[in-house]
Amino acid sequence: MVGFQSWFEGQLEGFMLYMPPIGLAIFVVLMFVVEPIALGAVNIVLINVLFGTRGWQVTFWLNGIFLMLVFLTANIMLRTVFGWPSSIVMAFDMVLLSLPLGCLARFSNGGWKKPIN
Amino acid sequence: MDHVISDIAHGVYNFTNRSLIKNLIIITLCIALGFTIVFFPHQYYSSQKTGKSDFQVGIHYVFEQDELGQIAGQVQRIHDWGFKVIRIRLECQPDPLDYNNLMNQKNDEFFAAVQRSGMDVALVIMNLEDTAKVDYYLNRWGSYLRYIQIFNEPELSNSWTQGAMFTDDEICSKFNIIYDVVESHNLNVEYYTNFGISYVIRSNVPLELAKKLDFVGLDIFMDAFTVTSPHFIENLQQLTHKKVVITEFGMSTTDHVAQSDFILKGLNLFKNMRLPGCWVVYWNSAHDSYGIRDTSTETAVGEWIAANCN
Repeated sequence: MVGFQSWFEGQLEGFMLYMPPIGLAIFVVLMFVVEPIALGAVNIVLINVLFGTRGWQVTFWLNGIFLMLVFLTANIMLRTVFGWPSSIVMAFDMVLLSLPLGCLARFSNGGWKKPIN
Repeated sequence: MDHVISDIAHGVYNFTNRSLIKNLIIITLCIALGFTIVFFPHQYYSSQKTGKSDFQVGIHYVFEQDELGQIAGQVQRIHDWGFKVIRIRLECQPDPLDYNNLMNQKNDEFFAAVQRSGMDVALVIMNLEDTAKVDYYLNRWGSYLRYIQIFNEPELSNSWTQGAMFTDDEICSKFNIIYDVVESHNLNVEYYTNFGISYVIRSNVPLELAKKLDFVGLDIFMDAFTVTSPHFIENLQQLTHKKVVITEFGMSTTDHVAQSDFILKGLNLFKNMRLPGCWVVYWNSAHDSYGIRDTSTETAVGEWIAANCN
């Protein structure tokens, strides 16, 4: 998620200048449609690999939206309360929020124990 | 005791570990998180208590609507309330044969009063302003200015007729023409352009114009946009890499309690966000109810400045 966020922030200007307002539309689609789908898919794949499960309880796109919203909320709170720049917030995310976000990602979805009868 | 807690924990886990329940929890949390993202910054900044600061409160004075004899007194009154900046529109009669035209006399009167009070002046050059007029104005009164606004909310501006929007190329080329005229005067001023919330859909405009500006302005009206303004301000800063000043903030209403409440809430918010300043619209306004002069809002804003600004 930090990677996605960092990439989006770095590319914002480029998108805004690309055949306006088409670039902005592409940016919004990538950030709020493609990113959640990718996040949800990655999350369910990780859960299935790490915990030996199959399938999912929560649709992967909804799961991705949830994870993205948790991440954005945490970042907005950190920026607002502490006034930190993006780089510090991202470092904080990686060092201190990885574990809680991982637990939340595990809780927010899950598969069924193999084999499914 | 441990056994009871363990039973409860297992019960909660088993209950939530069903697809339907988990979906409902996630959907509920998504809605809650969405609201948090939208409202948290405003709630946080509004609830903060900070001491006095150098926050700069300004006001737009439409002195062309006042009588010549009124202007000096009004400028002094604005100064006495603690406003640091007076924003005005470029209005003059550039005909050299009409040097002492009433509008020009009003400008002379205004700038003489401002000189005595020591306030900064922000000049608004509107989007379709004639370059000869700009040139004349800056030659005659340019040295009294501190800020020059080139264009007003260009992303919303009309081109040749009502409803015909400026294209991006028109905005940039026209901006450059006016910028070159202003720049040729070598004035000791800061340049800015103000944008409305709608800059979001034409965000390339602030991005392009900001290259030649010292700061960018954001105009905020209505509660909905005040509440969401921290997001817009952050985004505009991120886009332009310039500091953001609230260059128009006000409410057109005859309910002066509501007007005071709206303006004071905004001033608190922007000050707590550590923005450089907020300029209120308007001091006086003949054609709508934005003007705060001779209303309870005038006193409320003045008292707020005394309590919150150095």
